[in-house]
Amino acid sequence: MLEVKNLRKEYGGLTAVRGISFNLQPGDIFGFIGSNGAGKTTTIRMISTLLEPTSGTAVLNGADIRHDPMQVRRMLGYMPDFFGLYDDVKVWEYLDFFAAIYQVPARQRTQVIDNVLELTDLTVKKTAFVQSLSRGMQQRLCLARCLVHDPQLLLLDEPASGLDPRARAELKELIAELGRMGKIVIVSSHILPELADFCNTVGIIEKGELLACGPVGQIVQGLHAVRILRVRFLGANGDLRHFVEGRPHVKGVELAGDGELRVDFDSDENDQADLLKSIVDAGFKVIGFREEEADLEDVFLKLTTGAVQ
Amino acid sequence: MVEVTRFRRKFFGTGGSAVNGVIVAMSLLIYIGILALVWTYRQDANPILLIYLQTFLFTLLGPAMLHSSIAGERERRSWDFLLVAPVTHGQIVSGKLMGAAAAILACAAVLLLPIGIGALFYDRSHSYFGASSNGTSSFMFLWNLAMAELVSISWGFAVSAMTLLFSARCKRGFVALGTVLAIMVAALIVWPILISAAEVRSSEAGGILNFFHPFWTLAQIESANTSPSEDILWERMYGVPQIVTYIGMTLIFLYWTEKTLRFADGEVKFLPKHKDA
Repeated sequence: MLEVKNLRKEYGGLTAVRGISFNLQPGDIFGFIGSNGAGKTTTIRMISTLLEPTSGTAVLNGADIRHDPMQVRRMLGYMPDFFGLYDDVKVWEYLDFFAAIYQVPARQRTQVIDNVLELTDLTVKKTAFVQSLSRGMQQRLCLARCLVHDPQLLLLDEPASGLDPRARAELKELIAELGRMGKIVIVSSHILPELADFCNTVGIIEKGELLACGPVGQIVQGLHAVRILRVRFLGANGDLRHFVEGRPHVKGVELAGDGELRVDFDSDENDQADLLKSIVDAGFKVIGFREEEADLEDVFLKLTTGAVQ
Repeated sequence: MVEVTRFRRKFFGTGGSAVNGVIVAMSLLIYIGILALVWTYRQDANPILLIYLQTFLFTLLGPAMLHSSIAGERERRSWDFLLVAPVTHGQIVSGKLMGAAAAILACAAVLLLPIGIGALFYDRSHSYFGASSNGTSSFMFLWNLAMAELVSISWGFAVSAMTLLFSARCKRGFVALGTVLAIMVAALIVWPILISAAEVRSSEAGGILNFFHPFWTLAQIESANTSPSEDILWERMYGVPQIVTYIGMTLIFLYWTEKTLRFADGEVKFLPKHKDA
């Protein structure tokens, strides 16, 4: 479990991070969202023990980043937004070097390297030189490096930056798999729709302050007082609109065109089911009924002012 | 060992560029040439002269290997990966030096063969410069040879540790290399010229002023072989103060380097400006 407690970082007169707090459980994939300069990287570098917090702390499975950084380092894998790979070494040598640094026993190293290469789909490149890999492969090698010591927390700073769509999709799947393996993953990214796909929790940061933090749906719900339902039906007439307007929990109805109604609804799924039943029972031919998907981008734009770029 | 592997691949790799092949071929050729020369003129091949050559090599090998060891890590931004690993700064620094130390010891081991030939067959009754002398005893000759070898190796360590320090304190690897080479030129060439120009005649004053100079120390050991003094204890001490000093310098440079890395926030100033916070 990761507990971030009132983490703060000041550089001279500049406060980069202003007392951030959040908790994450094993299996959580936390999307860290913010504009350039918002404080994401500073926060990640503090959690990774690269920067000393001005105040506050973070505790990973009982180990405090301020008082027991070595123990924290054994449990975390850090992938910055640059590759920082050595040239003139082969893929397996590179991983072997980091496995040795992380005190993976020499007898287990070959197996561990094979495992992480398989997980990151780099087995065929085991004996290739690092500099000969494509950008996507180098990114996956970076991730493989983070995994050689089986960390419990992964800090991925802009992992998808500069990758082509296929490499992004592969990386996304890989991160989701790491979450399923029970690791805590913190991912910072600007590509919000992608984060929404695989993150179960997000934190939105601006000017060093955490504006919102929690499950994606909960944050969206928190921002929208009402749920938006989309109802598609056969036969264009205004009767359905009048019928729906009179139903419980309906706050507003609008014809969206193309046989679709946009309904502002202020209750839960049970009441949505009742609404659907009543529409069908009234004889309207419903062919589609759905709640509008949570849009992280909307939430981000609504919460942030874009003051820092 | 990754540092050694990378250095080997960069300059001595056979599967790489043509330049690497040329370097490998030339190194082999020079080594075989030295062996052939020493064997042919084995009675005249003073092994201490080979240690001069070895010391010159070590003066270049340490900086060549380590100038980018920390500055280069920062440049390619792989430094963070070491800092987040469960190793202390002291371990990182000493690990870097061990890479160069391994190369220095390997180089010394390779040169041990021609030095050994010289040690076995060299006719000690005449000096390198042709002036006849009584020569020293076999034991003292071997002792002095061992001292010379240790002076050379400890000098190599000290230069490597100094390079590491400059690599830690400079933003760019080539700046560190330039600085170290400039210091070497100043200390090994310019300084003796200045002393010579100042016409320092007293041997004590010369000894003090040249104390750190490895080639001067080797010359003293060589002269002890060809002109043994009455004072045996003093003769045996040639090179020992320098060895101790070089090892001390190595430790001081390592400590200083480690102190340089201790400022975690200070690392930020070495990194290129990052658009994110």
